[in-house]
Amino acid sequence: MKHQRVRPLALLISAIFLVSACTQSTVSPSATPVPSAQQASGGTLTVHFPLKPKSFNPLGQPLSSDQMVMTLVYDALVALAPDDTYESRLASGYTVSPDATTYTFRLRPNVKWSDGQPFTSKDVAFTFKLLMTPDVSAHAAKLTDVKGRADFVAGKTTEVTGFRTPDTNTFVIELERPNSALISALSWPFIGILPEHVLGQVPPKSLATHQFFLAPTVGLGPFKFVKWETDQYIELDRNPSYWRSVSIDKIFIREMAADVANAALEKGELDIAITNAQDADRLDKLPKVTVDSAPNPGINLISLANDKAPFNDVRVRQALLYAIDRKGIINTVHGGRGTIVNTHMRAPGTVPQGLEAYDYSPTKAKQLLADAKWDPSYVIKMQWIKGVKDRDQTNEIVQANLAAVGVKMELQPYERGPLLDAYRLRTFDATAYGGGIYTIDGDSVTVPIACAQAYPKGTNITHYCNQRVDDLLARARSISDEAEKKRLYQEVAKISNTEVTNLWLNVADTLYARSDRLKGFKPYGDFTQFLLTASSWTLQ
Amino acid sequence: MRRIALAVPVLFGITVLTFVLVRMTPGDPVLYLVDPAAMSGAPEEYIAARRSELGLDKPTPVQYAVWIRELGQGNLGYSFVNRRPVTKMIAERVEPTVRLMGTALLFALLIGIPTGVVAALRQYSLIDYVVAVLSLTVISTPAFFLALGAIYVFSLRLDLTPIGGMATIGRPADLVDALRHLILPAGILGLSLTGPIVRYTRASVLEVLSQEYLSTARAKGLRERVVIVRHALPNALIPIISVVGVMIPLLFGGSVIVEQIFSWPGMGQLILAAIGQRDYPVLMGITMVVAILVLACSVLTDIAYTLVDPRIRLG
Repeated sequence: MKHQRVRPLALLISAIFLVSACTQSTVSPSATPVPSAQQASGGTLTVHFPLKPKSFNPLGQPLSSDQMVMTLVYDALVALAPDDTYESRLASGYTVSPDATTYTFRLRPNVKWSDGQPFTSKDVAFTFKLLMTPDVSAHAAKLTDVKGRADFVAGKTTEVTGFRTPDTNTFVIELERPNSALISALSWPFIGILPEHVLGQVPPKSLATHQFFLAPTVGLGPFKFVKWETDQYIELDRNPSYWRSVSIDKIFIREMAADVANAALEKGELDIAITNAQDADRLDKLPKVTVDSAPNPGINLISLANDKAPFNDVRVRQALLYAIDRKGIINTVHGGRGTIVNTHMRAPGTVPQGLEAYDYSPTKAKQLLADAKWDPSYVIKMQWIKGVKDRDQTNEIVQANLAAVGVKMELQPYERGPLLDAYRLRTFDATAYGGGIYTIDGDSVTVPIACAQAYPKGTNITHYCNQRVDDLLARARSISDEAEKKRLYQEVAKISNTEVTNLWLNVADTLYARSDRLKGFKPYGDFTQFLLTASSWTLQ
Repeated sequence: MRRIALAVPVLFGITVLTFVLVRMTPGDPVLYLVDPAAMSGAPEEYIAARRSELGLDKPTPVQYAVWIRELGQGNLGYSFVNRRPVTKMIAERVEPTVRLMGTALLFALLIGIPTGVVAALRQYSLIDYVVAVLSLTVISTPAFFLALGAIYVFSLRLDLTPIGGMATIGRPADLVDALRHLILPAGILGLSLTGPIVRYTRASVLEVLSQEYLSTARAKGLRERVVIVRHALPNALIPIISVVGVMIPLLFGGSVIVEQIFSWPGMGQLILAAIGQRDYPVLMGITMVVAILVLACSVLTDIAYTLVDPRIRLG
């Protein structure tokens, strides 16, 4: 009897042992030995993932972590450089016809795919045709002006007259109407060229779910995809056939929580991570860690439902902007690392002198609110995705600032899906987010402020709509005279400033914490692109 | 047998309920994959194509019928996010999950039961009070706090353990390395169970100690040690079995946080990601697995009862 009594517990314990023992033999099946000879040369770089990747499909809509991997395993014709210019990558150069309708890309000769196959202009045409197909590509809108697009999309032909490959090293895009902003559109987000010899036989419609994009082992990038251990890491090896020489032998991209990543950096288990102002000062003081920064090409902002009362009154939007202590936010939240902007326009030469600065002034705010007959019982619903420290803290400050001028604001943390529903149903009042690439080409403000881009058709969440702005942007796109373009963009900048299209809070610095053994690192303002220069990094 | 037969309709009910609940959750899964508000935008055709690809353009009852039909063939469907088979996604989590939860449970039992017994035998002594304070502290401290604190102390300051993951990446597998990675997450997860186990054990032992048959045993002239070890403890442990049975499903909840912090590739991380991305097939798959596990635990607990206590017979 007494034997029977102890048996169940003993059984349970031995069962756990058994299961553990059975599985023990497969401990970390993923870990692969690194030959010591390799370590001696270029070394292994460990990078932090800010969030879980989805898949590595250049035709899809990438998460920041997807972009990070894609910039390593694929390469693009043109991409962003850290200094806010375009960098020719697979294209050794390009020319634009004076009427901005013909773009000719000269491809680098003798470039090979990571499996040894030659890269030619056919691969580019293959990728661009996919890129243009609306149900296959999230980026189809970038190529709406291409000649022969309508027939191709309608299925009348499998060729696109506007894509020409006169020889293996030349790719030509011909447009039906001028578009001087095409390079801007093609350089962000990073669009990797796909291998026709691998994916050419796959029906385009099934590409979105194709397993290649979970393990893109054939690419043109500086590193070759080795494997993805879900929830752990992605392993990449140097691509010996890359068109530039690469020093680093191996890259591990590790998934971990942000707080833990800081500890891993301190301990030397990570070489580089994107960080925030709250942690940057502490990390910078660590003996073997350096913090680098670059101004963000995007804007941290609050978008209001400009299409409905009370926010359809310009005076209300102006009042709210005056009421927010934006300098205070930069100092408190961003550790002084940031600047204030007063228009959506940020590209060089597009911001005119004499814009209203909206300096913090509760008095002006109260006056404007009184003029607009603000109802003090109205409660602004601020709906945003909680979880980004800077933004969460900013919202609390904004709430306090508005309370000081008699405006009530309720903070309602939302998940992404329901928030998008609220944008669509126009049930939100205000939302806070950040991003965009506004620092190179003035055309980039089309996306957040043009009428045709009103959500869900596009990304104009405020539903701001001013025909004059749309006309100015369309004109600028159709000409290639730089001086005239800038003049038009300045006019847009002025309207955006006066009408307070959004409540621009600041442009904060993007911060990177990296190990001192990493040399040659150049900070990007857009963190999703920061691995684009990894081919020129070295490890000590 | 009858209990197992009863589990089938319960399981069926769970599938209907979760299927409906998951779909009632606000948030369109397609918009998690393609966000028209993202800076790069997305055409309507593209969004529509993704929706039909995922079968979300069909009415919910049809979606359920398709799901049940596939389930009948052992297919749990494909992840909305990356189109990998759900069975495969769950299968590759089983080993890390068992490794983490099994060790945690073992840790909790080995520490919790003896501590609870000692506390009961020395009721109202200094040891009892210390144990009470410690176990309440562990119960009321959030796991993420313990986890971050442990990383700070053991990984950063003392440099005894690695910061996260299941093994040092880029190195061949070895047992010592695996144990060094396991000890903190399993310890923290185990600790969160230790508190309740100590409290239950203590209460259960105290109750048994007041039973009359122990007085009888003592009256027969048995030594105190024999009275406790042979007569009191085995009876006191019976309720602990059901506590452990209930705790195994609870472990999943605790593991979500611990796995997140220690970058442990277990079921918890999969659950969290699937909820966040409204990945219906993965959510349904995990719910099925957890439901089966809970039902199995309750059946096993009942069976264990009959083994421990001959008075209990399953009807």
